[in-house]
Amino acid sequence: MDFSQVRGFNYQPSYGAYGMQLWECFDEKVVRKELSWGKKYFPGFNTVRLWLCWNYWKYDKPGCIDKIKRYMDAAEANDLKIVPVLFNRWHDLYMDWGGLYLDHFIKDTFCEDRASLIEFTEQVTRALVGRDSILVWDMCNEPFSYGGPIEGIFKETQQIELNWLRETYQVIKSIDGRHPVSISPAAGRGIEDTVTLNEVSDVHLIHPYFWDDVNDAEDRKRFESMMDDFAAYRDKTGKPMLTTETCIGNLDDAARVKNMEYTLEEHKKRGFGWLAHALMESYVADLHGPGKGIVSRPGIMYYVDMQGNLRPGHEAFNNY
Amino acid sequence: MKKINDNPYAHIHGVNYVPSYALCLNDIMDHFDDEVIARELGWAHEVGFNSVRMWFSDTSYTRDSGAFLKNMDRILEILAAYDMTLMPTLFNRWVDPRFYFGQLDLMVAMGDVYDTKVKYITDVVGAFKHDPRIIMWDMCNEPFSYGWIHDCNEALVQQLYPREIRFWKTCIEVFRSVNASQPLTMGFVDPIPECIYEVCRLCDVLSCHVYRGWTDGTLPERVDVAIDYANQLSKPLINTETCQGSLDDATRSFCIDRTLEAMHQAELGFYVWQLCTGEMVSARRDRTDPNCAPGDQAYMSFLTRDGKLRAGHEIVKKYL
Repeated sequence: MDFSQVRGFNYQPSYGAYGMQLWECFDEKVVRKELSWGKKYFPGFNTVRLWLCWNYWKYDKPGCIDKIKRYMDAAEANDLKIVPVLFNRWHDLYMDWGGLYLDHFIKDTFCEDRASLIEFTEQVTRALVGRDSILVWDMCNEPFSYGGPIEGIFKETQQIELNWLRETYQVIKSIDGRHPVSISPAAGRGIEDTVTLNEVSDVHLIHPYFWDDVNDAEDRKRFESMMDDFAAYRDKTGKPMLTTETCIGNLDDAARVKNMEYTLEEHKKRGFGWLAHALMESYVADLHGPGKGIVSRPGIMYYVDMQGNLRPGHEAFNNY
Repeated sequence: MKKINDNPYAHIHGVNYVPSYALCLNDIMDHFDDEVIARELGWAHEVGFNSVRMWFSDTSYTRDSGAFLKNMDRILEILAAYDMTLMPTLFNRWVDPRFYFGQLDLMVAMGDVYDTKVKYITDVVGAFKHDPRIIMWDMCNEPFSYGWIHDCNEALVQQLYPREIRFWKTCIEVFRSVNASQPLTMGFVDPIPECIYEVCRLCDVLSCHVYRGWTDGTLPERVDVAIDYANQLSKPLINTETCQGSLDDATRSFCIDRTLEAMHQAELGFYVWQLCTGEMVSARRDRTDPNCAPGDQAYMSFLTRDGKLRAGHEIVKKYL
């Protein structure tokens, strides 16, 4: 598949607030229904990014692998390509999703079960290797989440984290020679992490969110400059580039749509495919309004509410 | 053995409690089960424990603050019916190396104390600030938990301490602003490192987690070190976690006898780890953690699934 043609979403099922809960309470019927709502409202929806959960796998390895397969089945039944995310390093300050923590990387062998990260990678890759629906393996969501610049104590930590990613990359490649392998850094440090991760990226996966005011020319200029940097790096390395998260939220539907339109236009100009964050209203951070948990700075980021209604104005996604 | 100069908590013969249904920290309140909790706390009472230490999660509070406060009150109501008190633990920084339980990411604990954390402390402590059913508040279970990694990069760790100290000092300031009647403690790993003494000084009661030393007879010395420190700070002392685990019931029984005999000799109040066989790490024979003698596995429940004391565990009654 041509990565520039990717049009889709991240997906967090509606029924949970964090990884452990989403996987403990996995409900295939709900997943199938919610993904079908996505297809109904967005006919061009062709790819979905699905987050797996190492934390849960530790508690029930065969059960988790079975659920992962059924998760993939549900996406395939909706004729979707899949970007499976093996690990998560993003930790919302208010509603933590879980995943791997900074604690796991402050010492190379902090986690005595470090081998289990590799075992999880092996089991998942072997379970899914035969599926044509895999678009690209996403090893980890937003690594190097240190809350600031990589300096001082974080220099060594980053090397430890990078060593683990190198090993993970090799493990996947050794089992699955067909599909590309990559990783999705946050864009908080601009292109810096994308460059660092080039060696473990067959495809560049990026998260360019436009956080600022769409009416402010200076804000737009900064964002466009970052997008230009990404495009230039894509051209320099000759590798495809795909946005695996974008479109910041807003409490106001119209303002959200305006931001989305601008963001996706900038993507289109540069030939980037994209996966917006995120399809469904959910208890997960940033995917709900007041009443279902705290609403913080990213605002509300869903497209379809829990009752299956399209969020007002969000059909504009189809224009891109 | 040494004696604690100021010792109002010698009578505490308590138990740590995670409801059997909880796989991870958030499950305790997110999947709150009144019936299970009432039954299991009844078992704790039957054994003879007079206080319970329970961990809570700001994520659960953020998700549904109303339900959280209502359910916490219900726990207190159940305990009061059995004439037992509660030590609520507000945060967790213990990271199990094998199974995810849920904790503040180190990145979060090194940063600013965000408004939701302030609100969590203020609201929860504020709601029960003069409640005699609460014996004291535990701000956090095992902060600075990287300190016990034997071969950790010393220079790295020394850079982490000041950041985490800053975080907890702010949390304690928030706690003080509520003017709660109950004292404040924090459950530190054993031995308490000198570099966090400034946090210890801010607590009303010093907490230690003396587990080790029952195999080689050094446990009383470890208790003495904690007592010395409490006396030096002119603070009461309590051991909020103790009794390592074992797969072998007889070995565990021996461990409990040795450990609690030392507490008895020192007239040190304690909370053993932990009440129930359940879903979390250390609560099942197939989900052990490394808190045990070398070569063993830490299965740490006192009660079996049907609420009966594990074989040999009636020894605990000698110390209640």
